[in-house]
Amino acid sequence: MEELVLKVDKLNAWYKTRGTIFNRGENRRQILHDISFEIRRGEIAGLVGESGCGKSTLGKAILSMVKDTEGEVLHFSENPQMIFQDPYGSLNPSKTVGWILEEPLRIRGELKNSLRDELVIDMLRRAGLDESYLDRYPSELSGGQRQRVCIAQALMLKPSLIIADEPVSALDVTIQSQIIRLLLELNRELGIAFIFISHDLKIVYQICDRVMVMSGGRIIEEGSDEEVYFHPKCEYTKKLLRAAGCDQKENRN
Amino acid sequence: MKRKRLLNHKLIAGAVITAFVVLVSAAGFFYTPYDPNMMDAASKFAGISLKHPLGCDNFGRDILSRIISGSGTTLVIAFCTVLIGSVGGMLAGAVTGYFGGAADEIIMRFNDAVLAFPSILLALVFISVIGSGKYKVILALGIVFIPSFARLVRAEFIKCRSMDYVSSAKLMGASDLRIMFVHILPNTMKVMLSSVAIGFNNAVLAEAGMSFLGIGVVPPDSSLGRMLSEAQAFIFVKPSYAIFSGAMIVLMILGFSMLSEGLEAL
Amino acid sequence: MLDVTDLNIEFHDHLTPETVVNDFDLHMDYGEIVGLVGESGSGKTMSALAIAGLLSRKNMKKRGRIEFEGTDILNCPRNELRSLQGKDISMVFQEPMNSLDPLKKIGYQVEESLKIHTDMSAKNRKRLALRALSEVELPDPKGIYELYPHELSGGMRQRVMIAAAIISKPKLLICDEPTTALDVTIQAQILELLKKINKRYNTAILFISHDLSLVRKLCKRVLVMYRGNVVESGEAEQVFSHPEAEYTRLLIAAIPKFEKLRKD
Repeated sequence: MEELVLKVDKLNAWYKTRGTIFNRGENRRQILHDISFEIRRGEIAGLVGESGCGKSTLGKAILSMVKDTEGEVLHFSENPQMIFQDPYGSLNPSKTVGWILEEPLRIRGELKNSLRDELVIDMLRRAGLDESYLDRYPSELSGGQRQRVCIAQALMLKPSLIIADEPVSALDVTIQSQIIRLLLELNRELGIAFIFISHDLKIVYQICDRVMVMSGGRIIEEGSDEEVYFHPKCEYTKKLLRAAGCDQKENRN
Repeated sequence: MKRKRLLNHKLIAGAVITAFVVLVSAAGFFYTPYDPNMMDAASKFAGISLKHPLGCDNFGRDILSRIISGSGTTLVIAFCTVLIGSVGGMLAGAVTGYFGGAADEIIMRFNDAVLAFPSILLALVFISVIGSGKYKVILALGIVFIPSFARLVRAEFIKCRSMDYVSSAKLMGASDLRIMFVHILPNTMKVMLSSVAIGFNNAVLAEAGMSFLGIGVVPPDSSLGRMLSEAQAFIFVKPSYAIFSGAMIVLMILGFSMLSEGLEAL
Repeated sequence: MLDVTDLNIEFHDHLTPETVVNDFDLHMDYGEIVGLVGESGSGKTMSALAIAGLLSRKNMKKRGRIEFEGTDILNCPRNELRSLQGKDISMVFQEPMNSLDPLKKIGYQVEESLKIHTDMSAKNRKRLALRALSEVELPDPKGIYELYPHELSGGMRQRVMIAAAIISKPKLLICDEPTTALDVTIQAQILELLKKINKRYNTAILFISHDLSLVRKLCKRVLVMYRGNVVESGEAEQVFSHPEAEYTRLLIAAIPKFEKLRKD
């Protein structure tokens, strides 16, 4: 067994309906209920469910971007990163690609200038772009190119875990498969573990080793890809698979 | 892909007019045909001539020279006012917009209170407390201008703070200060620029209004508003004085307005 | 019913004019379902907006002819166009959150086109609106009639949009990526719904999507657009089994398959 990179134990999360100074803390709505799972090095875990089931919130809660939580999230690796759904919101419109990629290093104050350039170009290449993109602004890039820049930026701090929240659902189909292949490549070559959040069950099946099905803020089914797709236990999972056209055996090849 | 529109007619026209006004005023600090405050009884109410292109006022002072130096004063006052207003507003807006919470509630309620009064009225109250004069006008107007900028910057910060690029900067361990001033602030610049131009307008008008009421710039200093109020006394004897100083105000405001509209359309 | 010939659309709001649609041809009969496929920026939405007469008359140059039941959409007077829009031609957009007015009740928005185009009594309008709401298979139409858009889920909002679009029994329904923002389970239901509407009222549907697999499920005929040009058109099954254009092949290959991706 590979070592753990993440252990989530009985995680609960709430959203507050916005209060004023006078009625703070009233009206909490529970979004996540007793979520527990583990992620091991080099694993791709799919997190599927319909919109509103709490899968995005879970991704954020793991990276402590949700304020009101209970339970334990243990990271055994440094610098876990996130890739977001909307490539138009995840890059700062007033900065160049080069600046965006250098920023993580600048924040850490880690590297000298010459080394910095080398690393930036290396990661840009890994993400399938080249140094001609360094001086461009996000507005000059297509959706797919932006998503590649986001991936390159996530790679800058050499994470062992990346949470990808619907990274391809805002992209054209032709671009989707390219980005999926890129993620798979990074997983194989750099041993990065992914939590792949998606509502597209076919794509999840394409790349994930393990699948978690969420509904109503709970993980209702969890198992290896084969188990979940071909021997689903929950009715809800069966319904999802049917809607996505993943229920027919002849579809397998 | 987003396509950028580089220039538009309003931007060009606004830039040309503003450049003209600024150049004339800047030149006024180094050279005017006559000393704007030099009185010459012999040329009292002199008409338009080669010697005095726009004629002379009731003290025989050259109107052209006074307009040139007066625009300079007005511009400097407007510039400093907007500088105080925008920098102060930026800080207040950034803090309240980014952090939210109690600080936001308190500062913004104070802001609302200030915004509820016409800015010129508030400035009047300030002046009556601290006294009149060029620098005091700047201070009073500057402070009065802060809330409108704060409101604007705050709205932009609230919009940006939930963007994914901010989340990803946080994930990399960027400090709040860094996120506020390095990541978010540059994205508010476009909105800031156009409102700075509008603020400039309001400042020019406010200064003119205050000087017109006699609580702004103190004689013998000239400013456009001051001159307009002086010209009022003999508007039938010498209408050109009022017309030309008024025209200069119109030109300034037209330039800034077009510039700001042009910037907005970018 | 609908005849589009040599449609060209050029943007003129920038320093250099930009062609977004190039020689677009489309013929649709009553009750036909046609798919329009292409990636973002391929000009498919622009063509659809032009057919619906929704393109602004400024800043762009349009050449060619769009004829809907003999009316020239590109050149007819504004009021003639308005009498078509929402009555004979309706449109459903991608983002159901943006296309409903957050301040108006669902009922008001569903029956609005009746208010504009007919002099029906309020009671009759409500009766038709309730029928439309039940027709799009929304549970409890009476309850939903009184709700506001934010109280509904994305899928329900899209059903409301469809109800509003079909209430005046249009001859042509243009759907611009109507399912892209929705969950897979909901997507399938919306497709079924569109099929039913097509059968029941003989409504012609122009279905725009970047997802070929959806188009295949719904449409008899497809047009594939790429960078403003129609690169392939024909019977859906034919296009799928024997794609001619290189780009179509690429699109088909990109449809996610239910199989493991191995790194090659």
